[in-house]
Amino acid sequence: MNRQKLTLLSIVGVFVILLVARAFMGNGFGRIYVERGDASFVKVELPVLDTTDGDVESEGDRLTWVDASSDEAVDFAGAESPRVAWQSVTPVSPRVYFEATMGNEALQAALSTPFDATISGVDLGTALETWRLALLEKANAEAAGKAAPAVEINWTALRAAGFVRKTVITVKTGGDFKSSLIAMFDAAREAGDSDAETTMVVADGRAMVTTTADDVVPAIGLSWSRTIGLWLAAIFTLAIFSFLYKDNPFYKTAESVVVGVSAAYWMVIGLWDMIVPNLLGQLFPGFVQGNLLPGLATSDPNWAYLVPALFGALLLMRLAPKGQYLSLWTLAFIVGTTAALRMVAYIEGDFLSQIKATIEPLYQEVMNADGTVNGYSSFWASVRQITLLIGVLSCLTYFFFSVEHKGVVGKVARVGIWFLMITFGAAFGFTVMGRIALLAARFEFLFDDWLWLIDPTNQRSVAAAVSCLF
Amino acid sequence: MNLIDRMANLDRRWIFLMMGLAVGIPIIVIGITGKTLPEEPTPLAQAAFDVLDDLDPGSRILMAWDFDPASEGELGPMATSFIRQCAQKGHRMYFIALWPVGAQMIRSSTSRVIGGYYPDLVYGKDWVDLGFKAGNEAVIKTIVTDFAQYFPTDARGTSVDAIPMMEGISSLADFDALVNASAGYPGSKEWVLYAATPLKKPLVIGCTGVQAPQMYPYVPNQVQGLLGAIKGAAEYESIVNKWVRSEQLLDALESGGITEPASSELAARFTANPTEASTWTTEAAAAAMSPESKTKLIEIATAPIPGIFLEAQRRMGPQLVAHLLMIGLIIAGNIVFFATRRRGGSQ
Repeated sequence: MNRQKLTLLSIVGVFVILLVARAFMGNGFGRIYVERGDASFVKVELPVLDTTDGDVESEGDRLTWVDASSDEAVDFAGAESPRVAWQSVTPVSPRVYFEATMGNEALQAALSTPFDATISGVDLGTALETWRLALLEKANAEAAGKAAPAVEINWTALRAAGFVRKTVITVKTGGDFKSSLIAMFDAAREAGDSDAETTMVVADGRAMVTTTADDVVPAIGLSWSRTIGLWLAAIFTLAIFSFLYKDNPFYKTAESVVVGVSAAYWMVIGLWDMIVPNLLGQLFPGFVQGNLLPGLATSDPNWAYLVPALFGALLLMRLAPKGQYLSLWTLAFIVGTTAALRMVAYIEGDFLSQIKATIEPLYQEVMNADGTVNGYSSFWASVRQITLLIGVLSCLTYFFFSVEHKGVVGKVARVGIWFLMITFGAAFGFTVMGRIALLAARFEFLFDDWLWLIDPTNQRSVAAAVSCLF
Repeated sequence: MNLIDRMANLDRRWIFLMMGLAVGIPIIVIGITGKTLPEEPTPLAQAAFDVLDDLDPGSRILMAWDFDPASEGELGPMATSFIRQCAQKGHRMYFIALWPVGAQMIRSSTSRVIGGYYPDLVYGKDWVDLGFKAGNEAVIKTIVTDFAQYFPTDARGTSVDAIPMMEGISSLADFDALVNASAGYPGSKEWVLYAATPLKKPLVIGCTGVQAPQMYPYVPNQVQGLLGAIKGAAEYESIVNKWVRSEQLLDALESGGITEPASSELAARFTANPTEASTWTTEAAAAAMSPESKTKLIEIATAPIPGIFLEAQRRMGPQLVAHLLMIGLIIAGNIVFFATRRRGGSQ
């Protein structure tokens, strides 16, 4: 390994170490939080009602799974009804997590921070940001030997994060923050405006505000599996980008994984969205409804679906050591039907409709809302139509090789080339625009979802404020 | 080695790096400042909006999401805005996908827009996810006459018979309009050829930049609205954002006792200039409104647009800088070419 490669590897290695270290510091980055809940379902026999003629008539029962807390479950489920339960996981933004949990930690840290400032704000994020700026201003003032500005704490904003349930109080503070907060609580209690269940515990040099209020505390936490998935996505993105430098094992690995995962995904989706409901559901509706798709309507087997099942099986004969020619029957069927379908559609949709769209009057009259002719719009609409006609005829002339492209024909063909070049240029421009948009989307993923450098969708604004503060 | 020689032999990786910076730096700047470039809608984007806006609330809209994560950067913002307009208008949305990963795109866009901003919409009554079906154009050809043959259940495995909004849907002819976000085959061309043309149904297409030139000839007879690439998405996004703001202002004004035509005129004024709302609430004309209604009106007028509804407009910043770089590189390339040829270095 030469010195250049060693230097490059060292730089990359240090960068990776710093990145990973930063990910575990403070609020880190590239984390996905989820809210966990309990899901419970029960199997019930629901009556199927026919109301088409105005009268309600029963058409029997339908066995299906319903939410255990739904009205159907209450009405039709019994003690012996089969039940299933699992833990549901719903992704939530980091903002939700920080508002629910991190804010409390921030407050605890703040309680041991002496300061003399004023805070105001309408929500936690704004309050913390204002607080941060005020503290900065205060620090700057102290550093410059000037009088420190006063800061007001908007306790309502902090309360909104779940620290206190009912207390609404704004107090000008001075001196030590911890003693100020205690004074605030005392003032609130004296004013009769405090929640009796809210207490403040000061121990081990730290203070904590607790409440036994009946607020539902969401079970929000870090999802390691999804976080690892996010990091893998980011690493694979960088691995693919690394091809721009030169071909390398990281790129090869990422490429192979993408191909493999895509194939597997296609197979699973094809099985559950197509083969199970559309083929097996038609051939064995009872089995599918009872074991695979509880929501599928029961019906009599449709044995005509044995034909596509057979064709599908024949297609797999390509993998067999003998009888591979049998797959050609299916391929022949696919090619034949596709050709027939396309011929009809292209004649109607492309050939005839496009001719019809071209044969329009050269003078296009565009009307105003009051029924009068809009001269400006009519002029440009007519210009567009004339240009279209010239373009079509000149391009057709260019591709008409039975006549030598000389004289008038040659000049018209030359115009056709110009039209074609402009068309190709427009297509190239669109392609460039599309590729840049895709690159921008990947960069947004890296900067926003992974590195948390930007927050255009306001997913972490509170987190950012808390990070800056503490 | 002079400058021309250096440029002629420039390692392509420097160009990759420049392009990376041209795209990356504007993203960070826009992400931090929140400022986007202004968008002036073209008639095509306006036509796409008008197709869905002219339909009565409750109309049935088939929304085909035929794209995958590889093209999500272009088509994701279009999908978001399509759903937002339909949800705000009160249309019923039927999602399907002809691409396997399209099913995931449906879940992603519906959870972001409907789950985040229209939680009152009820699954099965206001929108339904019918999932992916294999078969490419054969799916379209079949559902033109028999919808249930390909879609016996929704993506969650519920029988379509048990889904209220599927009542009365027997074929594609029962839909009022078709919306397609397409990244290739099968996609917008197939929807034009196999559905919109034979059924003469209004079709709105959002497609990638690569596809857009192929779709323009179908406008306006076979395709009524066309959004080409991220530029089309940004224009349509700005139209929908203004319209939603205007609708919300109209509701706030009318709930505050301001009636037509004054409410429409004021809503248009405040949409164009949000700061006017706070000024107007101090005037005598607003005396009939309660303080709460005034506060709500000002909040709506001045509230920032949620970030997910600005995705396309945010991505126009990198487009601008990257295109300037491209133009610069093309000019530089030509200078190098002609300079080299003059010296007889290139034959």
